[in-house]
Amino acid sequence: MTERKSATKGRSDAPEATKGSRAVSLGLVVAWLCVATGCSSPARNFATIDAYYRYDFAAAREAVRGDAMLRNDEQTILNSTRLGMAALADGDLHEAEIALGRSFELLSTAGLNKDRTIAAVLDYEGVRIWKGEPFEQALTYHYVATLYALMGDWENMRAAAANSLFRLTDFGRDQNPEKLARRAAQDEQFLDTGYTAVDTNFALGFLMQAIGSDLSGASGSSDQFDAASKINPDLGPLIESLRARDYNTLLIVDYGKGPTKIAYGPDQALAAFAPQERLAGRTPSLIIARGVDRLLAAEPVCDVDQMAVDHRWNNLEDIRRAKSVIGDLLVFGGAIATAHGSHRDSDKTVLAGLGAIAAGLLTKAGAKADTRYCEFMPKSIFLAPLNLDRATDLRLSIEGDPGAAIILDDVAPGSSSSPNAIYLRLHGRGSPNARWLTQRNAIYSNDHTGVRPADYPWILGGNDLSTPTRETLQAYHDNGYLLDMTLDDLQALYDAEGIHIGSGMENQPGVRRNPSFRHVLEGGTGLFTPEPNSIGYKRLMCRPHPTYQPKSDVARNVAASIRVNDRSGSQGASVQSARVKKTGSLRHAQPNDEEMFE
Amino acid sequence: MKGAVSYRLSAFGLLRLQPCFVVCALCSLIGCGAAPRAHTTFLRSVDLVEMTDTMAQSFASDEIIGERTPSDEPWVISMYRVVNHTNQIIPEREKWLYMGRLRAMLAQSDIAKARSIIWIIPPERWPIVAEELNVSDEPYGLRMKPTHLLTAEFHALTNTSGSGRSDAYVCEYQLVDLGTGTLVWDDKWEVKRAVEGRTYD
Repeated sequence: MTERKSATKGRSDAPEATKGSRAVSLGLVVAWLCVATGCSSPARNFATIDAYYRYDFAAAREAVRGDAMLRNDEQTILNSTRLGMAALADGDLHEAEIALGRSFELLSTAGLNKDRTIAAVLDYEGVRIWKGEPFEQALTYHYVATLYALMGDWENMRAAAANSLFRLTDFGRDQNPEKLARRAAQDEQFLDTGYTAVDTNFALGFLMQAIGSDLSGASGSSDQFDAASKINPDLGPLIESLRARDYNTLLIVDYGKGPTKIAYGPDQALAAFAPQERLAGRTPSLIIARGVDRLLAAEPVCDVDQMAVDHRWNNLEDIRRAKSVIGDLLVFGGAIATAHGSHRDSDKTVLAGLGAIAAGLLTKAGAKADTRYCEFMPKSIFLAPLNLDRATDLRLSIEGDPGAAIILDDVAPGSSSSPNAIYLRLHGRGSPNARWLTQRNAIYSNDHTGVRPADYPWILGGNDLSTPTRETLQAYHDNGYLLDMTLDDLQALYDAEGIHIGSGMENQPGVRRNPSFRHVLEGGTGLFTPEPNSIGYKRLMCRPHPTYQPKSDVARNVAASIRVNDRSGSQGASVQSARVKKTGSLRHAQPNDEEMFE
Repeated sequence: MKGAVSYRLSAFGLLRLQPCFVVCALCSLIGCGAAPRAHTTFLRSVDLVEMTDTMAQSFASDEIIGERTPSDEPWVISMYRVVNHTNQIIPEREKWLYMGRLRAMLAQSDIAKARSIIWIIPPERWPIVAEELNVSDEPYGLRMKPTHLLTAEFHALTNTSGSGRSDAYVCEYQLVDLGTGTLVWDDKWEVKRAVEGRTYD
């Protein structure tokens, strides 16, 4: 009797247990769906992209710096590359080295996504750590090489470029994503075995490696030049010039917007790169002139649009493409099973059907192609070696695009053993026309130009943005300014204004670092001179900025004393005599001191 | 009765399905948000320590150097060059750290005094070394004229394939007598590093 009772109890408990299990299962499904939804494609960082293509590299860096430097997630390489490229264009080599160095190290890590394949299938392709398509990886290595070229570190330039020359997977001629997806659907092993490993056709990589090898004294440069020549015989004249070391200045110029990555096809499962620059089918030339003399018309060494559409330069992570089909089959099959089970009152079949639908929907959701890409890649990359006989002004322009032009003031040549490398980022037609790009002379003097005659610090009303050094202070003295100020006083003056000497020098805990990467001319707290002949340098130094308003009493007083003495037509001794009353240090000047100068 | 069987089957089905959901959810969670970690074939700080320790030991036990006495004419050895022929980025400051640590080790030991050796670094490189080693005082003899040059060359044989990457490193040190042009001492340190996995996954 007891047994029967137990049995009866057991039977009566069964539905309760089933209900409990069902609730747990449904909960897990819901949780899983939530997780999957939460992992969907990260929002694009439009702030950084928009700023980058307005030549506002400072703002572009600000918009991505937090993500690049503070977060360590699936977008780390992408954000570090963005930050590094923007810093490179802005002429901040220190930050470029930090950011691109991180990209370099992670790109060189094998099997970075090894444990994420299942998650990518079940979830969203974006859960994979972004390493970019192979062409984006090769270009990132190229930018690391460019960085070291600008630093004159030819050994590291060679080392970085060497990493861009990895072998490619070739599935044969006339291949495209659709054809490859169809083959992959028919043959599960196709993507793993259906290709031939071929040598790279990245001529730019070979040239950068060859330049680095040649200038650092490493062996192999001749073979590397030959390899580039074999890939693209049209590069012959350029290669001969480089091989003969017939140059003392090397221009590395990026032009235009690189291709955009879009998802398309069933369930948006396929990804493709599409060109963004409309150039009427013609590849533009880079024209370099000195006055009216045309020095060089350079053809692009690398066409990024072409690389992006070449299947050899794409990862073909086609599991997403297959997933779309799997999704359709599962949803369809699951719906049939559920209906069939309901009709027959079979919970097992119903559950199996629901499971299949859930799995199908999830894989279908996850089928959408990963459209993350590095938006800062250019359309074309030029290498232009020049042999300048003296410091000279250069005008660079892109044929057929009047907005893409820049004048470089007084470019100093390097030597044949260590040429002066210059990197420039020119935007295409979609970007605003920046007049300051063709402003020949710097409005403000700086560490590159040196203090000009009659000039004094910008924060005191002058036009000089040199960092405080003994030489700088001596130049102010020679101009008749700040005569009884010591270097410590000058540094204390900047300190009182909250200005940091150098880029990104703020290091107090709890204080935002971003403003210290921004130059005081643009409202930041950093005083530095970007790499001469960079776009960042032009933007800062070759266009007028609002007058500085001193924040501290000491700066206001010194500025006022200079104004008074300038008005009275005397400098030197007058400034000295009218100088702010010091009470031990300039920091302690009295607030009302300003009145005596007004 | 039919219903009871059905419930049992359902419960069985659910219990069988639950682990799958758990696994799937965990996979999703693992895949989403885990931090990428660099795992490369590059030389690391542990290599720096081992390499400089080994080289310092080799230098100290060298026969020619061992024959020198405190009363001999001092050798002024300049840490002249560090050459990177690997496919790894070695920033300038790190290059000089390899030399700087060797110099510091040998300078701190009795060898310098016992063998009448003065270690110097090219004055223009000293700020880099000082920053890396976190020292401020300029070392004795920094601006002396060198009698010997010490160079270090790093080479690597890199292999990449679909299954991984390996780098075999050879770091070679050479001491050359500037007066005679002869090689006084040389030695090398080797290490091989390999990682599995696709490099462009």
